[in-house]
Formats: sequence, structure tokens, C-alpha cells
Amino acid sequence: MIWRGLRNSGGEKGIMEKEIDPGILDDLKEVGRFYLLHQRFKEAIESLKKADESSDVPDPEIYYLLGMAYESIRNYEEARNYYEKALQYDKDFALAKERLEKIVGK
Amino acid sequence: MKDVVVIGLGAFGSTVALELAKRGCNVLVIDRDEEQVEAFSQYVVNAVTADATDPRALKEAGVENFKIAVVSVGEDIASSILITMNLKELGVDYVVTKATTELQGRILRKIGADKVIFPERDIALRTAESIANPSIFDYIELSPSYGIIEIVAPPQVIGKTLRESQIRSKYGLNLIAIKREVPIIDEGGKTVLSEEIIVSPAGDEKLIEGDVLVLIGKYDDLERFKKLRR
Repeated sequence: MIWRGLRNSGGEKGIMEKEIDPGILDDLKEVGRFYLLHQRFKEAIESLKKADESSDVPDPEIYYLLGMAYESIRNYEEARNYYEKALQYDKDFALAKERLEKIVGK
Repeated sequence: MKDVVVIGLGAFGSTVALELAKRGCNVLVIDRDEEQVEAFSQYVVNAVTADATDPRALKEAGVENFKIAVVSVGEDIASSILITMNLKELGVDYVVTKATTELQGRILRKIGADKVIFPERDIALRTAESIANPSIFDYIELSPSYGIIEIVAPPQVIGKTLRESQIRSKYGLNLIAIKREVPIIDEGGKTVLSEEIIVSPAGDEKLIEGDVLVLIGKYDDLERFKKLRR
């Protein structure tokens, strides 16, 4: 988990809230994309999974990128799972749809 | 442009005819079923309803002018034999006939078929191969001793150059091409996958995870290489 800092909340001393910096989440996703584009698929998967874990709201693009990383290493089962997940949160995600159609039967 | 006569418009024959027409061949199709022929006439140059086991009907259809014929009349081996014989007697140079069993194949060869194909057996072989070994994408028999396989690069060669991988020196195989999914940024700024095919890769080409290797070699050598992944 990423912590930006600790602060007191609601005047109640001692209770601390964690707060995640959305900028850092973007960074993790971009690091994942960077690795993906450099064909370092294991590192890409690692970063993208971290980005997903750290995010409160599911990000379809992270799943799409994960799908491509798995497809590149010919793990079609995982690729399919992630493309489907991307579409679950964004049913109009054309690129994910396209990939999913391409890997039918693989 | 090649002139080809296709006899029998089942699933196999009609696909062959359509694909030949798409590739610019002059195709004549012959089938007994009038409706089938009718439906097909819009896709190929000539479609004729006739009983191809009758040599006169074949002559009337103008088969003599064709150098190549594909015979695909389903399970009916007697018809396949008659049609193949008729075609050879009418002077068709190259007759390809579909068979389902090895025995049918032997008979067809004896009576003059230039090539006998076994689509069901061939697809069954590939299906079995890809289920038994999911890393094998495709498998083509070239001759009784040589074949081509498409296989996901085994862990032992990943990260190595082609030379270091010893695919040729140790396994006696030749790498025809590498298929690779390459993530790129497209013109619209989107991250997408693009399939790259590296034909005749150089010795210093580095193999990466997910590469599909297209290898040609003797079956024994291909078998040895296939075992690497397990």
C-alpha cells in the first residue's frame, strides 16, 4: 500500500487515515505500459497488478494492458480473463473487444 | 490465371471453389444439386448442374479444357472413383481427390488421382497435437520424414540469441520465422498489439518470452525439441 502521509482526522487524536495519491497510481500504470512497450512482460504484469491493487475504482485500461501482456506471452487464458474484465467495466471498450475476438479459439 | 474445375459443393468443395475464385482462378463448379449450383453461380465464372459420374455430362460441361480438377463428393467412394477416372480419361492433367480413409486413398491413387487429400485426418492430427501440447500452434507434414511446427519458444531458449539457443547445432532444426506480438503505440496514441513476423532471423536475434518459432526439420528432431517445454 502506498501512503502519502498521515494526518489527523475529525479532531479525534490518534486516528489516522491513509490517503493514496492518485498520481502514484497513474505512475504505476505508466510504468506497466513502459515495460509492456519494451517487451518486458513479467515486469509489466507486476506493475499493472500493483496499479490494480492500489486502485479503489477498477480501471478498464489496466485490465486491457494486462490482457495484452498476457497475450504477448501466449497465455491466452489470462489474456481472455483480463479483456473480459476490461469489458465488464467498460462495455464499449472497442480495443479490448477487438483483442478478445482475435484470440477466439486460441 | 489457372482454370480449375471443382466437383462436389459440400463444405469442403465450396470453400475450395470460393477461395480459388477469390485468388483470381477461373473456376467451374459441378454438382448434382441444382439449388446448390444456383446459389453458387454468382461467385464463380461457371456453375453447372450435372452428374459427374457420367463422362458425357463432364464432356458437355467442358471439363476437357481444364488442366486441374478437385473432386470432393463426400463419403461416396464409388462416385469419387468414377469421377476421378472420367477426369483422367478426359485428359485433365492434375486431379486432386478427397478421401476419408487410407484404403480409399490407395484405390484413388491406383486409378490415377495425382493427389489424394485427407482433410479430416489432417485436421484431426493437428487438433490432437494442439490439445496434447498447447504450446504447439500448428503442425504440417511435408514428407514422411520432414515437417514444420509452430511452437511457443521453450524457457530454455528465452533470453538467448538464436545462435546461443543452439536450435540448429544441437537440435538440427532450421528456424524459418519468428512470430511475435509487439505492443506499440498506434497513430491515435493508443497502446495496441501488432504481430511482427521475422523471416529468416539472423543469428544475433534475441528470443523473447511468447515468441512463436516456426521450425522445419526431421520429425525425430522436432520431437526432441517439443519435449523441451514439458
